[in-house]
Amino acid sequence: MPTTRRLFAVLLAGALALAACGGDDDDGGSAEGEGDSSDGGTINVPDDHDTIQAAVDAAEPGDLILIQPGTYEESVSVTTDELTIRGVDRNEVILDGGFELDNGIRVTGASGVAIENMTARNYTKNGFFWTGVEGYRASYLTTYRIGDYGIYAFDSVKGLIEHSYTSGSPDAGVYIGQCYPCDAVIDNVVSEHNGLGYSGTNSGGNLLIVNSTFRFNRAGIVPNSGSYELCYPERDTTIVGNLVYSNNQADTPAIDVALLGMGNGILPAGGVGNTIERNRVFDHDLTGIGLLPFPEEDANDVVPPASDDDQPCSEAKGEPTADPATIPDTVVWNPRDNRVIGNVIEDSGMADIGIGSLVDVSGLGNCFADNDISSTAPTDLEALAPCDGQGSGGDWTAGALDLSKFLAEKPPSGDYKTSPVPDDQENMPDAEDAPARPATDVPRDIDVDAIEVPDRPSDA
Amino acid sequence: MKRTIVSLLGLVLAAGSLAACGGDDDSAVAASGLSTSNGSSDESVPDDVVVIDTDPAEVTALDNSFRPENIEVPAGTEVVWTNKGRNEHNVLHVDGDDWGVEVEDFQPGASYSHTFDEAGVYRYYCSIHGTTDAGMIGTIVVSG
Repeated sequence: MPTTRRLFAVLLAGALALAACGGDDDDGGSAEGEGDSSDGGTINVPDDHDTIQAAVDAAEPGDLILIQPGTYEESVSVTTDELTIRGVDRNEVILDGGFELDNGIRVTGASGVAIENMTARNYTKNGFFWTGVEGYRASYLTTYRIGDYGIYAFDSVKGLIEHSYTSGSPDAGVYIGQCYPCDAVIDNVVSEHNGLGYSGTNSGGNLLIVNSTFRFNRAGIVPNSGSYELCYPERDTTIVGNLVYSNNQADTPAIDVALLGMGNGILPAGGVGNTIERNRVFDHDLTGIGLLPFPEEDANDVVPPASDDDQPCSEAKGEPTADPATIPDTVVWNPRDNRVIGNVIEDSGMADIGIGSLVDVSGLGNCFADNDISSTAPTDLEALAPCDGQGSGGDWTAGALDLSKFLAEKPPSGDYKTSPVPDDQENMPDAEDAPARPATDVPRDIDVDAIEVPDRPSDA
Repeated sequence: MKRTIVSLLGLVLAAGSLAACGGDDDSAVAASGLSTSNGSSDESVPDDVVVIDTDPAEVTALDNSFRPENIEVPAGTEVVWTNKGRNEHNVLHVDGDDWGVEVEDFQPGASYSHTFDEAGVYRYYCSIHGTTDAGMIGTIVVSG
């Protein structure tokens, strides 16, 4: 298919050249990689083009843009489908925003774009950013000192974020938002020293977060709901086999939600129907796993009924919002219908598992089973709300979660511009020679049932 | 506030009946008595437009979309954008006219307004979360 497109492009280019009245400046036409079959659809940076942006602009679907070591002070915008953009060395191919440029690489509406094996640092907004796409892949990426999100997939479906490292973002190291079903996987990611290790607003539906590490953030994994994005609420995220620890880090950059969530490992804030299973969670000042509401002030809409839970995002976007006069001052997104099973949780300041809200939490449909824990709030939560069979009928007020602790003043945000510089990270195998692999085969299948509780790291 | 969804089909049918055999992308604009904001003839009315008959007309900037994305207002209407997201956004005119607001003056909770006195199709975007034609974009259709 790329060959056909290339032929068409060559013919078109020839026709334009013949028909041209004035002759434009050459725009990438000098690149040996473009239109030259000797490179087989590979465009080299800087040999063929000095900048990544120029290479992207010259590329056609299916091309590989191969970037040599260097510091590239640019903000790259991608609007061409099915590109593979790859650095030859993850730690030496560096996009640097100089704390002035907004996004490292932003892919807007271009499907199937894969970004591999490079680092983005010092951007005021996002490191690697896909928006409005079908098919995306982030592999062997590093981000640090980024003003909003490290790796950011918004309003995008069919994605894979893998073998990547993010740190020093005040919002979240990794974010997937506004999609249902997302059909996306986060696998083998390390996220640390961020406001939130993971944030996912109004996302879910075949969305897996597996085999990853979230540590030294203010809060670890935080799926959340709110009407400040479309497609609310967050629902049906599967969180399995992750290491989540020491998310009490007081010196990270942090937005207000990260300050509010500080001291919690896995925190579905107003999340619905999530599966949280076989994670190892330890060393948190408040809860290991906390099911909490998200109170949204000045909301744009009310909470939709549970009967809308299966509504795809594509349909929800077109729904009218409630009459503003009927929207309460504070809209409360409650955590409901979540399943918390088989996790190993220890060293939690308030409770290994806690649930609290402004309403009677006994009716929210969450369940808890087979967790290796020593405390819950309310007391004996697995008996009150088991995942199989009827609850004990016990007292939900005994040992109830003290929500005031969550509202206590937290250390203020650190400066993302001075957050830690990470060590070198693992390179993608065979980066120089591997063929282009656009994100047309994502997400890959994950055998969730085969994932076991990860071991505790020896140094933690 | 009264809001009415107007389908592109409706606009196109109206355009067809008024402009007869025109058949190009500008038919809807021409039928509506509109001109494009930059005087060119290469812009078209978007797929769906919300007609707003109140002044001011309100547009909300969420993360990361404008709602309603496309609106139609009478000439002389003040349009007010309010950032009700949690992220920073801006409002930039695609054709470089002298309206719009930068990030510094459009933080979460902030508002910006502009009065559109002349009929036309005014396209805009957030440069952080979109390009001029994809991502976080919007259109103001000003009727004469």
